[in-house]
Amino acid sequence: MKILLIDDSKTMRNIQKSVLKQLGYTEIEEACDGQDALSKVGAFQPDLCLVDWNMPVMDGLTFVKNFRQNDKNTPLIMVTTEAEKSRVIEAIKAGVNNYVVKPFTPDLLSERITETLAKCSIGS
Amino acid sequence: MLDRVLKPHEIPLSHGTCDLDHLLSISTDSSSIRCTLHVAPVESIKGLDVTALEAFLIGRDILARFIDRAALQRLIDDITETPKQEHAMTVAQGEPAKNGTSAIYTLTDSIQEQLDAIKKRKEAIKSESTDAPLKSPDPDDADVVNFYDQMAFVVVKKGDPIAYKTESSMGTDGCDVFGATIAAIDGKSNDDVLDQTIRVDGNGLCTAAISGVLSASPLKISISENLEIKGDVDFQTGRITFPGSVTVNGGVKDHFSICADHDITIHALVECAKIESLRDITLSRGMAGKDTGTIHCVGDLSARYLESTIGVIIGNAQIQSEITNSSINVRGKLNAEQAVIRGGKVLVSKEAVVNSIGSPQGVETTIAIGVLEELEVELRSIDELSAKLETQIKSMTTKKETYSASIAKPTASQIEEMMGMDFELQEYQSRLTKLNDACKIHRELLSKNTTQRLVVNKAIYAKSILFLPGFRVEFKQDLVGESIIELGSVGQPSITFRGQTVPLSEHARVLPDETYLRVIEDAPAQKTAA
Repeated sequence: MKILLIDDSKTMRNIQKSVLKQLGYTEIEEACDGQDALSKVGAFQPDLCLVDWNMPVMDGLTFVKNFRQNDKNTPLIMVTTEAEKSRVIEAIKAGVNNYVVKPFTPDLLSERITETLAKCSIGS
Repeated sequence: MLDRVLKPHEIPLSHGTCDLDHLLSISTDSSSIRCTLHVAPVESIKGLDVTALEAFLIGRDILARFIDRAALQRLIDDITETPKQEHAMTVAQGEPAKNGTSAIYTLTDSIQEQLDAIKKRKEAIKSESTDAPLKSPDPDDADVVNFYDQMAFVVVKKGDPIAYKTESSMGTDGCDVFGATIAAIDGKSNDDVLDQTIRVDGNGLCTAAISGVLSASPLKISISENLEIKGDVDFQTGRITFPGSVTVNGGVKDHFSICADHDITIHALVECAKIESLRDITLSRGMAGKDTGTIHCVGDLSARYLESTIGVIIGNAQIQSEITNSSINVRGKLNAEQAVIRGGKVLVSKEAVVNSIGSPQGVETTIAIGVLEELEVELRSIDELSAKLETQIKSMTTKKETYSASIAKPTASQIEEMMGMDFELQEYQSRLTKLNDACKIHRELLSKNTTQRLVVNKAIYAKSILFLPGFRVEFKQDLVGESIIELGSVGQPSITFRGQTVPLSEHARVLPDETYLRVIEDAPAQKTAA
């Protein structure tokens, strides 16, 4: 399972990476913004992306929209501080499969990842 | 050529021709391979030609195919030239037998080079003056042979190539001039040159089946797991590193060493040398290490005495007569019931039984019982790391609490910053948990592998110092008589002296001391009892 972490904060990437490693995922690639992520998806071919919303250069929502133009299936989880309902709906409309609000606990992130992968696997 | 071979009597003799039967005779060598035709002086050679001679030889049962007609012609020519002389010529030659070749073992270049080097070494040592013993070589001089490090033995490891075998060949029978078979001898397989310590593969490559010392002669090539040195370990032998057992009938001289994977037995004195074994060491006499000689043994040590020696014995140690001015660390039990410990420092992890400690002259002698230094060093370092981590956790917690309290409604970046702090705190906690687990394991090991019990059969003399985990005991006056000093898992050290068990402080000065950690079983965290 290949997972792409997209977040401008190295600390947040480390936290997410630590949770993913505990879950047994070791093939992890990192990107510091949406544009960086788009440049990496071709070569890395992720099976799951964890995307922050607020990032410089290209934000998470723009990344999701761009990504979904070519890939409708790869699960995307938005991991953000944007907790308003309207924002959540906006993200889902853009193509995210699940939503995690910061601050999150490792257990919550782990739960959402497992849940999303299970849903997408049934869907496909 | 004759259509039919004529017998001598069938050869027609006209008037004036010679009588061949009287004139000619043959002889052969011992194996009848060569036939020589002898011709007596003749008046006339009329009727004497190659055909007649050939017929004569055939009549004497010489095989026609072995007759050399050219030789017969030369003989006729000689007779013609000097008929009144006797003549003799080899005129027939059989086929000698070709014997087979025996199997040959050719040592590999590497083994041969080592043997050559050892030979040169022996010659070089012989040529040295006995008045001027060999000195340690100058390490910068490439031409100087280091006689310390060059071993006088070829040591091989299991699987090393030793030699190549050239197989034996069969012989080819020969035939003498009369047609009799000369039996050839087949080459010997020479299998007995090797024993089971050397294997030969299908290509003739001989490899070591075991590790050990190689002995190679034309008649025998074998490997022994036991290296026996008849004399001393000195310049004749070099420093020894051996994968099996080593027995030295002599001693070990200054600056030489023996490192063996199996047992080491030395019958005479070990001087300032290095002795290391992965199993047991037996010193029939003892070791006078001159303060730098070392002994390291993974198994047990048995020695008559140790003097000015540094030693680590992972197993038990049995000393018969004395340990003098030495630094000895025994991880097992020390059995020195007849031995005196005088001067120096002796550490014992388990029970020690000794005859006496110190001397009536007041030689300062230190003994530590129930201590395991290496484990304690690790335990202390774990303690230090734990303390540092605890400080970091405390500081990070305070920082996080202050930060949270100062923010009413956190921004996205503040939320992330707080998550980062949480993450860091969890990392510290996880490391601390691991350290605590390691600490627990070390404590258990320390507890299981140490026994705080000292039995002294004769006396503990003044100026002796005894370390027990958590305590330093100073003996200010001689304590003559049998005594048993013990330290329970809790409480003070006690002594049983002249049948009475009392606190050790009644006979010696007992001070709390952190030199050696005291592990209190079931204590929540590792702390020194002192």
